[in-house]
Amino acid sequence: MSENARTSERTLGDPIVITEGVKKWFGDFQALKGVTATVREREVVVVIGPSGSGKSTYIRCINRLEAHQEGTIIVDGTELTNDIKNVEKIRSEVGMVFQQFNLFPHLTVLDNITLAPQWVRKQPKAEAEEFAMGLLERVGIPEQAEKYPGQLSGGQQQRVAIARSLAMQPKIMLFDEPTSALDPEMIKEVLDVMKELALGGMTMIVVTHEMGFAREVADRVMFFDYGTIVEEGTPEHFFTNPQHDRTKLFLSQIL
Amino acid sequence: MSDMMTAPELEIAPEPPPKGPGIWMRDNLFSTPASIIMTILSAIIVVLFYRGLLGFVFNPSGRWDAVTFNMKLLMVQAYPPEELWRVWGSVGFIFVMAAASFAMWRMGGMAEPRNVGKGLMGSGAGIVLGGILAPFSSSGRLAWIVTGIVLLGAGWALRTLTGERAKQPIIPMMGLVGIGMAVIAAIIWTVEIPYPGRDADGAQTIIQQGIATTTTIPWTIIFALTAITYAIFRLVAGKSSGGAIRGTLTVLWALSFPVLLLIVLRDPGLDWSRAASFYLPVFAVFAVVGWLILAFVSRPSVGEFGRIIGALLLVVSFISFAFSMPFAIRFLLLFLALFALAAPTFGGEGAANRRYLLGWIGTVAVTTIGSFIIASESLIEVPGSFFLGGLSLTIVLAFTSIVLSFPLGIILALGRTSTMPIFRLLSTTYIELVRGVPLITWLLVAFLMLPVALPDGIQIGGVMRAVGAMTFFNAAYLAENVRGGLQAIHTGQREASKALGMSTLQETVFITLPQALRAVIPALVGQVIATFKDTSLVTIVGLFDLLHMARQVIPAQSQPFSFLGSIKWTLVFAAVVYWMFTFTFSRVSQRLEKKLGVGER
Repeated sequence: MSENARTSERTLGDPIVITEGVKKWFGDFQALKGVTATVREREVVVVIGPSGSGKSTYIRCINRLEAHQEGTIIVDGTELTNDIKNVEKIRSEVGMVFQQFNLFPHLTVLDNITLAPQWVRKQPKAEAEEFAMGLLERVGIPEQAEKYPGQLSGGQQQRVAIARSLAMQPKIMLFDEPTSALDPEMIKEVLDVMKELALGGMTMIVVTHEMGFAREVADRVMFFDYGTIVEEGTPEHFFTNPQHDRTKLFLSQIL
Repeated sequence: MSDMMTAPELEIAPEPPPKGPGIWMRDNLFSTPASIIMTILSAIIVVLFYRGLLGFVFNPSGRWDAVTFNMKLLMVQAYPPEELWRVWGSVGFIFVMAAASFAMWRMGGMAEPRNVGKGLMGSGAGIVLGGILAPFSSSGRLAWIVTGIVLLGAGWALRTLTGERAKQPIIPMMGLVGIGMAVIAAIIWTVEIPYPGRDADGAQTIIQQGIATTTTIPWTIIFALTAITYAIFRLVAGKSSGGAIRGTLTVLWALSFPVLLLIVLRDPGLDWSRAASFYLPVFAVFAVVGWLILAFVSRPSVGEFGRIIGALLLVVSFISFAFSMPFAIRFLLLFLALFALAAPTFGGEGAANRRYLLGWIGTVAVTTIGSFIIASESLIEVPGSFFLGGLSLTIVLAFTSIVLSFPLGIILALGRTSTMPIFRLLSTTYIELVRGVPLITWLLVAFLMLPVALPDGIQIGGVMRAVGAMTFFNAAYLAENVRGGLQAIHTGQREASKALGMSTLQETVFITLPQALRAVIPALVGQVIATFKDTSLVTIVGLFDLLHMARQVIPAQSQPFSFLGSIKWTLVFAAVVYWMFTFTFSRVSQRLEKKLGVGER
């Protein structure tokens, strides 16, 4: 495909996620060894790396599903601390899509999407449902609104999960390996939705193994290994002319 | 997706070759020498047991007259006969509500003729076998065998005459229930059952006579009303107003138990001047002041200050329990504090906030009206302290303690899984302490030690003490069941709700608790069944529940008829009644599991 969804059609804005020297330990194991990076508004950053390299931990620190122990994380001008009110405010502005979808199995698709807008954003029910139907339209499954998550395919569930995050009208979207639990024929439908989102100007940080997506959509690729950013750059630079030995080794193994 | 391709046509699975009963028996009962021996041995045991059972039930010198003569005692103890319409009305209300609900929610479904036929043939065979085994007179034996053969034939006819349609669900289950009720109505009008009587010399004997019209007429009316209600609501069910009717029914169900118990059955003597001078002002003050406080703290701009107000109100409400005052005020203070604490989570702006404030007014209304009614004396004149006894007392004890122990159990479970060490410690201590001591001990504590410990002037009736002991005991068990459900929830669910910005309270109410409760329905129903049976322990502290009647009251009667030595029959009757209730619970829970399992397949 020659379609290019990158910077040519988007102009990057001010820095919106700033991380500086972020360190994180799980017991004695150090998952992050001082990660410094900045993500700008409307930028699409793809994070790749071998498993256990700290890439998931890094994006989970950005909405504080994991608490970092050293360094600073500033999201949309607010520093993440133990203040739970601050954290809840930031979480409502940062959407997250998980590898295992994590839809609420006891609620219909529509209720999954409208629950948080109604109770966190205090939107009236009718308004929230109208917006949710618009989102389902956008991800291509408006006819599934009254079904339960268990009745949908993996790809459909992940699209509902994306719609659920978008319902909070987030400024930033985090994707934690969104296609890793999907059958191959369903990966494309999810990636298409993400691509459309990127074209629409959403700020996105995506942990994924889909190199095609990285090449086509990312403004920047970060390569994580052993809890640090080993190398980063534009996809062109990254895939055609990697500098670091570990990056070369990783790319030779997966490409 | 819309661009679905047409799938290749599916082939129909081949029918398994038809198997006659002979082949079925060879395959399943007599396949190996060991299974032949086991089959014959089990058959002998079943036949011997069945024969023994029938011999006991139909023994002409059995004392079933102790049960039939004392039926009212077993059900409602000394409830005044001229007030019995209250009891029948309550029973009828429950039946009518059940019929309406079954129709509106389209429960029951359809049965296949071959299964109905199988059931008929099975019961027919059982009745024929019973006719052969039981100690009947020859005419009785003949009647049984003929009835059995008729049922066998009907079942067989249903299976064969429906032909191809035998495997399709075409028989409405509710129709079968209706036929069942009609049969029961016919039986109670015609059957003759043993009653105590006197022979020509004045000696006590057992005579056979029909059931009194004071029993048959109410039941017939109830059955008829049930059938009519079902038919009417079945017609309404498809209409657009169905949702509103279902909502109304749900509210009626929620209100039915307290209203039937406290107003219909208890018949409180309401003192309206007291209502005007005390309860109305209390309602007005709490409604208005509460509204103002809640409207203030639920404003998003108030923020943390609102929670501080809520916490202060909670402290005030706890302090109120140390002073002597009408209990309505104490509970209203407590509810106001809880509403204030939850206001930032569930209130807010616009419609949500209006709903929240109306919820508060509703809570104040229910609390004041409830306190007014409970504080009034009952006008039902019975000897003893409580107006119900026998089965009705058993039901009151069971349902009240079950309903009250659920919220307490859930709070304890949340406390035990909380991240706050003080809550964990308190909940764990409570659960381990209460569970570690037998219920019977707690009942004795409530009856023997509580009166000593209570301050002067506070008296709690015996039934309330038993309910209290059972509630606190059950809550500990329920808490452990709910905790199991909470721990079974995938961490992804919590992460997803956190990632959406939900507070811990919202996450608990909307995500974790509903899933946890659903996951442990079997355990919760097990607990409900255990509670229902455990009510029989109150016999030890002198309450007149069903078992107490069957075990001590009736077998000790000597006037006007002597029922000395009738304990075997009264106990069997009590056992059957307990079983009928618990079996219903377990069936309902199976249905509930199926219904709620929809989304999780």
